[in-house]
Amino acid sequence: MICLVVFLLIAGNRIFADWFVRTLEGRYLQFDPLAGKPIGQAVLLGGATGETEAGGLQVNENGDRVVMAARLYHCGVVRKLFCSGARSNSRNRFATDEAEQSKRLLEELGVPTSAIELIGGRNTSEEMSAIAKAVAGQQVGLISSAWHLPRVIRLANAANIEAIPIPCGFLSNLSRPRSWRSILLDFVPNHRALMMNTYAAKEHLAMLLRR
Amino acid sequence: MTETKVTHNKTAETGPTYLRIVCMLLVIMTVFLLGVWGSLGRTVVEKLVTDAVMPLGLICFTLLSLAIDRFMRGQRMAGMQLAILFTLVVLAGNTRVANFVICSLEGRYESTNPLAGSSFAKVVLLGGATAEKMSGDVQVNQNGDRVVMAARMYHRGLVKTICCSGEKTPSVGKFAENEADHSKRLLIDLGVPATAIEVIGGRNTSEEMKLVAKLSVDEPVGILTSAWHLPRAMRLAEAAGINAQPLPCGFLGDAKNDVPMGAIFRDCVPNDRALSMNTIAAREYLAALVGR
Repeated sequence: MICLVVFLLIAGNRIFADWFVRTLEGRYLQFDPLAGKPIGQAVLLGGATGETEAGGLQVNENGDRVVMAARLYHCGVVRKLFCSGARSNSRNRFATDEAEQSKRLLEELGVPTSAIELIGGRNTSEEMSAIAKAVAGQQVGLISSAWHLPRVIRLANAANIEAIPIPCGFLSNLSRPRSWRSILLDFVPNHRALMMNTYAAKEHLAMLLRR
Repeated sequence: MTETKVTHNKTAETGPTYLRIVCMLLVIMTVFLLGVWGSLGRTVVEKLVTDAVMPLGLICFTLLSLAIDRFMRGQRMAGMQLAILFTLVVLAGNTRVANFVICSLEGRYESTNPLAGSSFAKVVLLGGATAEKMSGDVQVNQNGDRVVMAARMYHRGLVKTICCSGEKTPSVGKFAENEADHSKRLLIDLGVPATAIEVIGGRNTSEEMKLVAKLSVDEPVGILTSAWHLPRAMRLAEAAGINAQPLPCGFLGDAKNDVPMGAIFRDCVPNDRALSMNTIAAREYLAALVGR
């Protein structure tokens, strides 16, 4: 019982969650893709979009991927964007593929249709095969959430893709001095910390299983 | 010597019982998963197992095994308390429950598509959708669809001026800049001209609405925020005498009933997303209760 309470306090603790997520995000914390050199082309990985009941589209909790892709285009860092993500089967919740959703959102954010290309991929591994085929040995930026990027880069290297990491959607707190009240709040178990710990645990588990 | 014997006997009585329960539960779960594998395939099982070994899944499993253990030892009160706790955690982490709860907030805006509606001279983009990065850049957070929707509305010609709200609270704030400034930076990067963006303050929704009231004297103003937050924002807007039009985005709920079987199974495994949705909804209802 005591073990359970301790586990709950750790799983819901923001300080621990920050540390755990940083084991993934840490290497990208100081990296600003918009301040870097132009890289020509980039892939926007799926998993950041959804459909609404009214027939519209939206970005989800990973929506910074779409925002980063549009910003990279508008800032002149990339000229071409590949959108990945396909429904796993006909029983999927969505009526359209994630790649199509990303494309429509990018167009509505001012990116011209001619600068967007769709590629498939029902999961990260399949997306890598599709990217390798699409870029044909050329250097490409991979846009994904910072906590997901170590796994993406590992899979890209395995698929012989010359990948440049483009991190976005950071979850961990800024490591700048904060008020004691703000730090105190981090000790109160909360759903966001639990979510961060779950994301990090899933990524580490996937890496352990070489997925 | 006698004391040692008593301790050993107790361990023999209690230790193996709990382990037996854990093993029994694992066997039941394995049989169930094999059935799912046979009917729905390996991918569904992989996702179910992954969710089950995550923190919330482990907490539920431990609570269930402890509750059974207490009942089997005749400790009915302790068993009942653990069973209630288990039920609460299972419900809080259940996606179907979370969908129902969050849809009670989002439901009224479900059929509203801001991109298919009328145009506005001013739309207020409520804060709480952005964050700062260590590199000095800014990003959208889990509520980022607010910023994306504002930019989409502008590019479609549905809004002339986007008023960004949100101000940092020094005592608990984590950022160097105000959220309104983050939103402005992001909108400019998304192709919205700086001349089409206004920055207003507001440390919370109540303050934001008081500031919006000063902006909109006669003409209707669009209130752009997450669908689950909109009932509260609209209530406060009406209280401040604003002629407000709701512009929902960032829906969390899934009102569809024709969900595939694999997804239904997965929805029943307690998960962090459902817990987040329930927590967000609970906060909104609490705020409504205290008139905030």
